[in-house]
Amino acid sequence: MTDARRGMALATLLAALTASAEPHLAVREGFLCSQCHVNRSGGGKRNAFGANYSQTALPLWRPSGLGVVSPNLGEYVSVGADVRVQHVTVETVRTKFDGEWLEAQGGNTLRVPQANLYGELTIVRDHLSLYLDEKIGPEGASAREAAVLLYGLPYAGYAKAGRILLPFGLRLADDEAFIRQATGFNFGNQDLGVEVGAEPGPTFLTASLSNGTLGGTDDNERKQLCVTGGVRSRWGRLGGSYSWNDSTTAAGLVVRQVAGGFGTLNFGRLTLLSEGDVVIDTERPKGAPRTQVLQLAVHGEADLLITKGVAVRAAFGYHDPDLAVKNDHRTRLAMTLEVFPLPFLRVTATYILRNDIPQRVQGRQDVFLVQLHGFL
Amino acid sequence: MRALGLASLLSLSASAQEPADLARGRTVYRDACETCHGRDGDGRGPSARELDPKPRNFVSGSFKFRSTESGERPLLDDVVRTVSTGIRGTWMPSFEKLMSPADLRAVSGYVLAFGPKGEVPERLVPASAELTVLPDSPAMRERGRALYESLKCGQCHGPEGRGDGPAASTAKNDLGEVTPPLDFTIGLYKGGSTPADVYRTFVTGLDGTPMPSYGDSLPKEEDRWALVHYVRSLSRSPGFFRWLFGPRTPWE
Repeated sequence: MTDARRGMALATLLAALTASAEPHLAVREGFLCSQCHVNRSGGGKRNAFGANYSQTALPLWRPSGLGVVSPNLGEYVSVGADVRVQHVTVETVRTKFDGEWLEAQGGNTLRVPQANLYGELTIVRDHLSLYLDEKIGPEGASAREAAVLLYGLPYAGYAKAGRILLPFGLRLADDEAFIRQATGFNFGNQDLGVEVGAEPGPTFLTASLSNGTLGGTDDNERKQLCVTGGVRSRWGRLGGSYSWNDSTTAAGLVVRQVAGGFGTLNFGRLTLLSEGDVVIDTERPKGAPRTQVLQLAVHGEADLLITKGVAVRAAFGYHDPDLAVKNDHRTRLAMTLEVFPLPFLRVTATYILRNDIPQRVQGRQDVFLVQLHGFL
Repeated sequence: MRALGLASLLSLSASAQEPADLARGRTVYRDACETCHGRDGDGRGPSARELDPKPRNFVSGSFKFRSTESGERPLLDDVVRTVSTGIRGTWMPSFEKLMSPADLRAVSGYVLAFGPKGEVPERLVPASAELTVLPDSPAMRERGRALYESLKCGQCHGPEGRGDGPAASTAKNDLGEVTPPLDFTIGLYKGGSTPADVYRTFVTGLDGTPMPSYGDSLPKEEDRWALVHYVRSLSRSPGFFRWLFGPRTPWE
C-alpha cells in the first residue's frame, strides 16, 4: 500500500469517528429525541429542556453559583453549539493474504471532529421558526441543516423544509457504526427536501421527500422517500424505517432501497438499543443484465448508568457488504466510558475492536479515542 | 400591563415577607421554568407533554408542598424550598446550586403571582429549623405503626408501606391521572425526606393529590412524630436489582 493510500484510509476512518446525537440518553429517560432537541428527529441544537437536563441530570458535579445557563437570547433568538476535540490512536496492522503481506499504517493524532454552531429564530412563537445547524469545522464551513420549522400542529405534528438530515432508524452518535455507514444515513449526508411528522398517542411517524442526491444538484425527476414510524412507551420503542432512492439516469437503472427495524428498552439504569438494516442496491445499466447487491448491517448496544454522570457502554456491530458472498462480513465492538464531569461537558474514552477480512486490512485496525465534548 | 398586574399581585402574596424582584423573577423563570410550566404558568410548556407527572399548573393555585392549611396558597418560603430542593421522583430538579438565594426568591415570587390573589395565608407548620423533632425510638415507631393502621394509611400505601394498598390503583390527582401512592420502602419522598419534611406533609396534606391533611386527625405532637418515625423506618436500602431496575430521580 502506498503512503498516499495509507493516509487516505486513515483519514476516512477518522472522518467517520464523528458523533452528533445521543439516543441512549433519550431512551434512558423514556423520551423521544424532541424532548431535548429542536430538531424533532434528533441531533443538533438543544432546546431549553435539553439545556436544563444538561445542567441538572447529566453532570457529576454542579459547581455553585454558575446560574441557570439558557440557550435563549431573549424571547425570539436561541443559540447552541457542539465542539468535540479528540485524540485518536489507530493500531498498525499487518496481515498475510494470498502469500502477500498487507499493512495498514496506524498513528495517533489530535483532531476536532465536530465544531457546529446552532441558531433558531422564532417567527411565530410555538409555531414557526428558522433553524440553522452550521458546521464550522472540520474542513470548512457548511450548513449541515438549514430549514424552516413548522410545529405545534395537531397530534404533536411538525413539518420542516430545507437542507435536512433524513429521518431513518436510530440516530446513533457514532457515524462509524455500520448501520450509519452502510445505509448512508449519517451526519455527513444531508439532503434538500421536506419532512413531516406526528406523534399521536404512543405512536410516532416521520416521512421525508428529498432530492435523493445528498444535497447535490437535482435533475428534478426522481426523489428519495424516507419513512420512519413505530410505537413507544416509558420502557422503550419499537419501530421501522424504509427508504427508496431512485437515481436512474440515461445510463440505466440505479435504485437503492434501505429497510430496517429498531427496538429499544429501558430498565432503570440499563438501556438497550438495537437496529438491523438491509440495503438493496439494484442496477441495470443499458444493455446489461440487472444486478442486485444486498447488504446487512446490525447494531446492538447496552448502556449502564453507574451513577449520575458516569456510564459505561458496549456496542456491537455487524456488516455483511454482500449477502451473496460468504465470509466477507466485518464486525466491530466498541466499549465506552462516558463521564459528564460538569454541566455542558462530556469526556469519553472508547476502545473499538475492529475485525474484517484479511484483504481489507484497514478494517482490522483497532482504535482508541479520548474525546472532550463541550456543548450548549 | 401584565408586568404591572403581576407586580401588584406579588406585593400581596409576599407582603408578610421580603418582596421578590419581579423583573428578575421573570428572567429566571424564562430560562429555567417556562419550558415545562409554560409561559403563563399553566403547566403546559412545550416540554410538558412527555413528562410524568405533569408540571404544576401555578394558575390554579393548588400547590402540593406548603406549610399552610390544605386549600391555601403556599408561602413564598414554601416555593423557595421546592425550587431549591426539587421534587424527588419527578422531573422538577433542584436549583439550589444553579440559582443564587436572590434568584430563588425572585422566581418563587414570580411563580406565586400566577395564582389566585388574596391575603397571605397563615403558616400552619413552623419552618423546618424551628420545628422541635421528638426523638425516634422503638416505642415511637410502635406507636406510629398503630396509628398507621388506625388511620388506614395502608388503604393507599399498603400494609407494609409498599404503595400497594387496595385503593392504590384508583388514586387520582386533580388532573384526573392515576397517581400511585408513595412506596415508603423506596423512600423517594416528593416533599423531602427529613423528619421535618415528612411531618409537614402529614399535617398539611398534598393538595391536588389524594393525600389529605392529617393535622386534625393527629392533634398530639407525639402522635405526629410517632407516625413520621414509623413511616421513615419503612425505607430500605436498595439491593442490586432495585439499584439496577428500580425507579430513580434523573437529576439526583
